Amino acid sequence: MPRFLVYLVILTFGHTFQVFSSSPAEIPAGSFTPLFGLDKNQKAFRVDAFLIDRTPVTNSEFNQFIKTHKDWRRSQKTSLVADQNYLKHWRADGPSIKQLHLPVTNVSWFAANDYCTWKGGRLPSTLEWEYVAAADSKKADASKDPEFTSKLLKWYEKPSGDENPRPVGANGENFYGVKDLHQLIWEWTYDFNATFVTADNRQDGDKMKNFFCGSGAINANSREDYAAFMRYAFRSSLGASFTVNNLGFRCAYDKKN
Amino acid sequence: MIKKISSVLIVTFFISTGAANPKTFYDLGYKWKTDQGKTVTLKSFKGQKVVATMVYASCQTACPLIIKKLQKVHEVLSKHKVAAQFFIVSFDSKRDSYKKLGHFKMHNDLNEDNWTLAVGSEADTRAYANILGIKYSQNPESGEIMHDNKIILIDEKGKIVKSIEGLDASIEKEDLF
Amino acid sequence: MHRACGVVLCVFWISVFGSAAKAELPVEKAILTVPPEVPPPITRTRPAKVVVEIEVVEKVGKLADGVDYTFWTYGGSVPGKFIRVRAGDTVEFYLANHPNNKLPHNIDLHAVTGPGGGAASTFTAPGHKSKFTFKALNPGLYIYHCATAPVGMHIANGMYGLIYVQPEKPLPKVDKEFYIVQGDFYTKGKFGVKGHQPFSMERAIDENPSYVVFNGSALSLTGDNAIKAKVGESVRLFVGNGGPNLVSSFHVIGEIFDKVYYEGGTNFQEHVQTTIVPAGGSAIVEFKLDTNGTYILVDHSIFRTFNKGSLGMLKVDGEQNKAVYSGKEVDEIYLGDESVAKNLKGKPDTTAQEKPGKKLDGKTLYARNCAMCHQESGLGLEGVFPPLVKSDYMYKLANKKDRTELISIPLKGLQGKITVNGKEYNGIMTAVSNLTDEDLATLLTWVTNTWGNSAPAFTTEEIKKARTTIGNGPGAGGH
Repeated sequence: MPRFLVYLVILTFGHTFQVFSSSPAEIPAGSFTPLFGLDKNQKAFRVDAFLIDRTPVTNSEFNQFIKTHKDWRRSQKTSLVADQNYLKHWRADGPSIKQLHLPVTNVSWFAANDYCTWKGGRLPSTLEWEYVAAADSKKADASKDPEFTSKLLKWYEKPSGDENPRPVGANGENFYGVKDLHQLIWEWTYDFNATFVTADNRQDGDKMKNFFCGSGAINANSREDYAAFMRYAFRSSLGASFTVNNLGFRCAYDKKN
Repeated sequence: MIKKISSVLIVTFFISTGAANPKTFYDLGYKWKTDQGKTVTLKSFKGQKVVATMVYASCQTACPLIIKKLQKVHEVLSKHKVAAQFFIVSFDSKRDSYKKLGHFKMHNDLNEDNWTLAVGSEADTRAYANILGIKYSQNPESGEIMHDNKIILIDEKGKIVKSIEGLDASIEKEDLF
Repeated sequence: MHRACGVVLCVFWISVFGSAAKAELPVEKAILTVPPEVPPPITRTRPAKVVVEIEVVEKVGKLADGVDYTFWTYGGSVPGKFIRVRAGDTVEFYLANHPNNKLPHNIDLHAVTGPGGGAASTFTAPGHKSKFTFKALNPGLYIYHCATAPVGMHIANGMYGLIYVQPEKPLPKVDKEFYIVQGDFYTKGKFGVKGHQPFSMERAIDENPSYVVFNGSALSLTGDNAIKAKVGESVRLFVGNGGPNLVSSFHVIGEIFDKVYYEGGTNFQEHVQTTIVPAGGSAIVEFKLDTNGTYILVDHSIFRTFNKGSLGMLKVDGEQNKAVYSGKEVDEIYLGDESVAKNLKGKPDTTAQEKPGKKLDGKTLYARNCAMCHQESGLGLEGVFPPLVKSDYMYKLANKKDRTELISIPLKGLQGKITVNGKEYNGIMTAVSNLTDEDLATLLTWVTNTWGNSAPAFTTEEIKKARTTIGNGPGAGGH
């Protein structure tokens, strides 16, 4: 009899935990200085309040999307909206049991974008993503904290192939109650290719007028936030139809007033 | 019953957004309003070669140069009797109305029938730019747009065949189709 | 009629030669080698299209004995694959980024004339591949490296290598060619601290490396990995310096460079002892081996060699040429100072000595701190590093009542002439740093009781006492 009660308690709380952790986190409005994007005469951007998923989208959740959007099945994809490695880690009929709670990867920007539209949201902008990701567990902006950034650098150094896949939500939450923004996977943003980290890092100071137009913020705001630098570099290596086995996403939602 | 209705709705949703299964350039479902005030999709170009690019009407620096380059492309293709549609989409979905694009077209002498300027929703513009491989960013406060300068060539089967980069306008026939 | 024929024939021949000129270049796949090997010289006398494919792999490897490091590599090695083409060739370059990698990468080849040396065109996400084509306009020996943000970190993790653009008139043939690239490494822990060491951005900005090594590891050119040649052979070293920060003073102990193509360019200097290799630069050095022995490759900024790992070996077999290098010719009695003679025979202290408890055993401490010079065998290197095997010099000092002099050798170093087992040595031994009193006692106990040596055990107290006596004064030995 007691054992049955124990199971009941676990099931109840387990379910609550699921429900609680699956509702998006509310991010309050604020001001943020991203690494790239500011004009010479701008000091920071205002970020409006928004909501964001607490964890990245999982293989199981993405599979639900595919069940109702047959055009996004693996066999249907073409090179225009996803390259040939789209969902290559799944079996023919979908993710394996082991993969259900792992973050979905090998999805293109178009796939991520359509998923978030289906969920009534959108991909977060790079500014929104960096704003939430600047937080550690104690404060909203830890981006100048060398201990925080060196922890991130340590993850960037480790080849993905040497890591064991981890289910989402296993690690602690940051100041905003959001998890896994770091040290799990890279994540798509709505305007991932909007910064002009030229592929050749040494030309960042050069306006390269021939290729890009518009004045202003080609130079990075601070040369010390190497972790952020590496995230921008990674994003700028992507094309929207690319799928990469360590790149997934989460969704953001406008705040309804 | 509800399941049936919702699946019908979902299918309709997909047909309209064109997230369906775009095999060629013409299958992309984005909706555009042209400088003539008409609503079109890329299907209207089916079977034709397309020279595609993106600009915005208030651009002072690169866009005039890109228009010049497009005119050179137009000249070379006409000389070699290669028929193509010139399709120019605006980056600035908020501020470039179709009327503004009409003025822009006149101002730049893009008068022949095969020039079309168009504007769409912010979401469609971003996705379309991603298909063509054109990067751009908009400063959230000043509204200023920074963008690649690329001209994309699509063949008569709807396949993207070339991407011409930069603003230098020396174009030869070999550089094109 | 004849004139018309002539015209027709002219037109015919012009069109034949014209089309031959416009004919496609022959296509060949580049032979890429792993260091220290160099691809064979190119013998063709016409330009070709050369296809080069390199895969970036992020992997864990050995930076030094007991020290693991995550290297980012071109083709799995540091330096990356050696690329050899000919001036005038068209190179079709593919850069693949292995899907297991975490980061995007690209390549800047100093041999390329064009934006970023190719960096802009090869920016590649993991699981993808880029291609670009360039013409090798200038001959010379060029570094290539990664230029993805942050560039210093990508280079510091080993993303560099050499591309040799052979001049149209090639250099004269030699018997052996080798590929050597120096690099500085920046780990959180100091030199010798074992385990997996992460990269330290602070150290890199301060230009304070913990390791300075050839070919990505302190172990890459020593012991069984030494490069080999024979007496009488001519040797060419393609030397590069990946940096990221330090400039190298490249020298081979026991050899003089007959020719140095300084900076990897067209002109050469002759009879050079030590040549500068700039960070992101190169040099081609040539010499002929006149006698046998082991020649040591070093960065003559010497503390890097003895304390950070910039040491490599060239083992040369064959007949010793006594006219060039005689070895020890005379060994005779020298009585010296009477008072010194009195202290020659000391009695071993038989009172029981406490054996210090040890965390690391003596053999491991020796391997980490002494074996680089004195060798695993304890035999040292003739004429360079004295042997410890049955060493009369060490026995004498280890069996004195007051062993401060012996203890001062690892503590403060030793320089000046000493005689060990009848052979003279006149070098510099640097201090062995970072050992606790306990570890030093363990080490000395082991060394003085191995290889036919014997001496009373050293205690932590003895070391402590000696440290106070020695204090901060100049090193023992010499005068």
